[in-house]
Amino acid sequence: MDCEQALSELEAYLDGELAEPGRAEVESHLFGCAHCFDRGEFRRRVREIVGRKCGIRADLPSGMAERIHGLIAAEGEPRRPPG
Amino acid sequence: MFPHRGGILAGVSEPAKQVVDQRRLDERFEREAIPLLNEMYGAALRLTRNPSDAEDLLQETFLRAYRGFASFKEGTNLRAWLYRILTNAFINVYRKRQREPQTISDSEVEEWYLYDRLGAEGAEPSAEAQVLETLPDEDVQEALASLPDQFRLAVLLADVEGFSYKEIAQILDVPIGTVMSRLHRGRRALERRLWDVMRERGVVT
Repeated sequence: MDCEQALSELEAYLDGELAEPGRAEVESHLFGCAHCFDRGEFRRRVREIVGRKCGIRADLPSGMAERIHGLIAAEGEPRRPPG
Repeated sequence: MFPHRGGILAGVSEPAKQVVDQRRLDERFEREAIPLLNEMYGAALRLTRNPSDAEDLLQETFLRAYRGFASFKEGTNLRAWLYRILTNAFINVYRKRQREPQTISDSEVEEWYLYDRLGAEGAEPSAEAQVLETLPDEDVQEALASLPDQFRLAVLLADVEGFSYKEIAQILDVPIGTVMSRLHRGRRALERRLWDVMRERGVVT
């Protein structure tokens, strides 16, 4: 596998989306080629940093679960004919 | 339909059966979907970046999910199913009046734009990715949010929410090839926008 092929598969490789034997071929190229390895590490780092910085965590605001239960209960109530 | 009507004469009448089915469905919804409220609130917040919008979006999502729960195939990926409703509700409710362009131009998709520039700054480019750490979280969130929705959603679902290509394809209802191309273009455009932000912040020259 040459650099061009390896780099064209790099994204899928980093996403864990390459099936064997393709995955192993890309990996063995990366470990033998500083040019591509560095690019792979760069992409991995960027993705990790973006994922963490955009990964806002928060707990459900209090009362939210009750409100949603209320909405659903109202939805499920028997709808009787008027009168 | 009036599911509670017709009880007196009925033995196993159709309406009575409907009531039983609905009760089973309600129990399943309570047991399977409700425990995901907390996680889905996080997802709504990451999408809207605003607690009050996130609450509205979560309510809308669970109401739609409850109404459509009969069409959810038991044993399939409930998390992806809820994300699909969430992203659809987001697009329908919050982006109706959106007039921003929904494409990323080819000039924004230069493969090693950020890598080449950070590498030119000095040390090893992989170490140079580290400079991104100095950006405030809000700047990175802003850069991601500035992408056209279809690209932003692909990158968000992959890099922030951790979904596979197949799951993203289910959530966005597009072929896997489309997911890959949106991810590729979205990530490259994001890198470019991150470079612009770093320059504005004076983190790089």
